[in-house]
Amino acid sequence: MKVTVKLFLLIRDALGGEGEIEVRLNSGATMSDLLSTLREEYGLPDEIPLRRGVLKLFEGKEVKEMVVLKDGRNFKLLEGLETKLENGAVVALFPPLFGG
Amino acid sequence: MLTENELKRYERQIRIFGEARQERLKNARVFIAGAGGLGSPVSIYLAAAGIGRIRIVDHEKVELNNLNRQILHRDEDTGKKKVVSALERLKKLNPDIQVEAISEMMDENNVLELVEGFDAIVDGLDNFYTRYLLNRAAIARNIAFFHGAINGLYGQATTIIPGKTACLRCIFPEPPPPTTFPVIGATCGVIGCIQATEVIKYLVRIGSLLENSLLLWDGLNGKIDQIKLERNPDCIDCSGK
Repeated sequence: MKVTVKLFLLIRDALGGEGEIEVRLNSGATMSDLLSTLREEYGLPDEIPLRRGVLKLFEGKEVKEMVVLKDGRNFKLLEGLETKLENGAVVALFPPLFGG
Repeated sequence: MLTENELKRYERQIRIFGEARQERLKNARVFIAGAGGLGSPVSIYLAAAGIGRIRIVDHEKVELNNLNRQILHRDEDTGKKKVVSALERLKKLNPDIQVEAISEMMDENNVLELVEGFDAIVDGLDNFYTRYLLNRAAIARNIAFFHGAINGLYGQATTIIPGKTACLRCIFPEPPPPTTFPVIGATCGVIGCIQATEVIKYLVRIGSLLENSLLLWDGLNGKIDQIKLERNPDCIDCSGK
């Protein structure tokens, strides 16, 4: 199956500016499978260096400072890393913003 | 009825949406949480647009390192309560509107009272803990909530209509860890102006809002994107409401 991954802000920059990737996965793949594929095959880093400190996207397998939406729903409100993906699903990845 | 002065002052925007809608702005009441980076441009542009009553709440004092972005305040205001300079600046900008600036820390004990009776709530906060309080208050009182957040050259905004759209908790179930954040002042300007535009459109009922849509501003690369959002039917803040 094919899943569209949309990357934004400095996560997009970390992958060379590519804003949208079509990722082929096996039927029945989960969010964990997608994120592993992005890390192993597409260069999604565990952390992104900042001028001061780092943005920690992952800690081990756990997603840390990254918002992950599947078809507009936060994956933590679905089944987390076990969230099943379907053909045509759209997954958005962006860093959390909180300042004001 | 608009006065002769108001017809002149708002002439350029009345050309867009007409006198009746300008009266809607005159009769509108907007609550702004924060007189900082986002609160500054939002309050300035809403005051300039003629929102009849603005309440702005902030408990902090002006510090020197606020001044790269918090354009309500000036050098001479450092050390003073932000609400003092906010009130002075907004009243000088538009003497025809009512401005109320309250120096209070928002918490679960006062938030409902603070937002009671307002038509719109604007997020000018710098942490998600207080944002969640405001989110729940907006849902409880059925008041449109205009979210914004920034970091560096990046920003986001969405318009939350209780009972209709994803709320803040639907999108962000957990808060990011609170810390100081880097920011270029103009980023606050971009997002604050988007929030102000959304409020005006909502009040005068023109255009389409950022409902179930998270706008992402990438100032570093000059890109704007939108992500579609969905309500969480089991949301601890808004489900069933």
